[in-house]
Amino acid sequence: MADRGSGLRHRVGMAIIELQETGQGELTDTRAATSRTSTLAEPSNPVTRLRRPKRARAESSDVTALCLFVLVVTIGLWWQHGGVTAIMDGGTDRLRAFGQLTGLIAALASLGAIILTARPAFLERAYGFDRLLVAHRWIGITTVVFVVAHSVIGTLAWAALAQLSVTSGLVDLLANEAWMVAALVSTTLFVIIGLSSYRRVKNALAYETWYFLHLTGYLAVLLGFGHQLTLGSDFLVDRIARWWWIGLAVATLAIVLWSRIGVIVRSLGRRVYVTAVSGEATGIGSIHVNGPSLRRVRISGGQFFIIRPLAKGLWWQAHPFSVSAAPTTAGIRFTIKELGDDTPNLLNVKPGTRVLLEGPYGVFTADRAAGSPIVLIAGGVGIAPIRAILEDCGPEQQPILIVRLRHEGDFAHRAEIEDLIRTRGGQLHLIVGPREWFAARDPFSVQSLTTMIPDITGRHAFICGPASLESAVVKGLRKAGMQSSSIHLERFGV
Amino acid sequence: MGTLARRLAPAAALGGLAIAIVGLLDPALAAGRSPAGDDMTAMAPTDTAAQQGAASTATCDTAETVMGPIVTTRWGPVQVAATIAGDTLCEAHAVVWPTGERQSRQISTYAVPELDAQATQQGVILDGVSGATYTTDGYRESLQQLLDSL
Repeated sequence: MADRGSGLRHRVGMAIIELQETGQGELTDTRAATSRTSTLAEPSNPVTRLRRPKRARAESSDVTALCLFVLVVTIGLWWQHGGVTAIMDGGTDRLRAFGQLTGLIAALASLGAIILTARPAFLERAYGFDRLLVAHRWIGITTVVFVVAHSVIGTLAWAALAQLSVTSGLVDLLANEAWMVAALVSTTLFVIIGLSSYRRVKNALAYETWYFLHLTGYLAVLLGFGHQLTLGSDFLVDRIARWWWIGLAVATLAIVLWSRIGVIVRSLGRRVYVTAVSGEATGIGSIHVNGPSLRRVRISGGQFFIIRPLAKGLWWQAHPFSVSAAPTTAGIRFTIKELGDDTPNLLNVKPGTRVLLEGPYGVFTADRAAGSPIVLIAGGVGIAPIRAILEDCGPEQQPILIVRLRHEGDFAHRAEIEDLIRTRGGQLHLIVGPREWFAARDPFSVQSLTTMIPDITGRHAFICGPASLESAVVKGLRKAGMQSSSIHLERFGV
Repeated sequence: MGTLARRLAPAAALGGLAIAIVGLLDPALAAGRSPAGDDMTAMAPTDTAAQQGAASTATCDTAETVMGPIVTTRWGPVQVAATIAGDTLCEAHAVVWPTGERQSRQISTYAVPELDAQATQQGVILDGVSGATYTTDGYRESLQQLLDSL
């Protein structure tokens, strides 16, 4: 039943293309056409589901062990070179030892941050893009804090050792020591990147303005590297330490080049086109895409792609969009919300437009419940991945779906979802109304949750929606006794 | 200006400015253009045994050892001794180097042998050792004064 449902939509997609090509009518507002109104044409090939992704390549314990190893070796070198002794002894040597330690941590953190944001497959498959970004944020903050601390302590230590005032110490460093101007510029870049990522500043900037500024982080890491080798006494004196440090930098460069350039090459190699655009609910629409190379993509419902439409004014903007139906050889459907930005609307993209697809990303997939009963909780357009997960689960999982909406008209794919719930013997709970209505009675309090989900502790929960909804739901579920390992979130802003 | 250009501009300006500042002001990149570099080439290069070839190395067997003056640098004193045969520098080696505190000791252990090797090969116009700027300067000065005193 479910498969017929998705096949049906894609045939509608092809029908729209035909209309355009024969010029029988310009479908300027395809959003008005819903999936269920058109007549159908038989597809030439049987529609089959696309293969699912391979299992995670890295265990999180392996990654933790590797990170600890790098940290312990690096700090160990500093210790062995007398860092701890210098701190114990006091005096100006203590200041310099602290300067070195903060510098080592700052440099390691900066490498970690760019590895995380490069989202190499071995990490993405294990953790999911959203968690990598959360980790990137924290490690990024660590980098900025330690870079600033290192700059201040390092300058103070230099001035104290040279018996100069702080200002002349700084001037002396910049004027006489190789790569110190570069290091100061690097610090400045790190601070600007940090400030521009502070939520209030970030929200005030257009996404791409912030993104391009953030890219100067690569330059910051590069400019900071020189002085580590010319002035960092841990690497000047000890040949092994020097090669260890160069090795870390080269390994990072290799990972970043491999996964970033690999992604570009792969997405350029995939010929994928928009086959249809349809309206689903107020401000929400679907983009259907298909292409010959999609058949080889391994993907699960609930994952997302980063989409770049190759159309005038759109090609330089990339957006993460969730797959909202079981992906088949007939194509992939993304359900998206109109952007409140001043950028051209993606739902106006014309069928036939080529799109670059990067992904799939994410570990928000039904297989994480391992066949256990599930509860799905969606807010707003968060319904998109939840709809795809619902389609991937069986009747034995007795799905309970809770949908939180401001208005009933915001419910995208309602008819499909009601069908899917019916065929799986599941239940649907709708919580509709503006936030103020629920000020007195929290819809995700333990009482309301246990009323809707009587067997709550035996279930896995999948939650996707605005951050405020996700945190409220997680709080309620944890209080109701659900284990955190059974709670799955897609934190990526949908 | 298009939307893309408008959003790219701050980052492009920042990146361009960063590269320009480093390219113009950083000692690592500005060294080739700096007046200090010109001063060095202006000094009369002293022939070293290596430059003169095998013919003159024979005379190094009968070379005399000359001590340079002690030059005080920020991190401590530097003094160079050299074996000289006629006007040929056969070998240079530091006899005093900064040992004041931990980092100086660490740096001296790798910088001093490197400076000795460079001085023996290149004479006063030695490349220097990165991370040991002051020791390099002190070494150059002591060696220069030693050669001047001949």
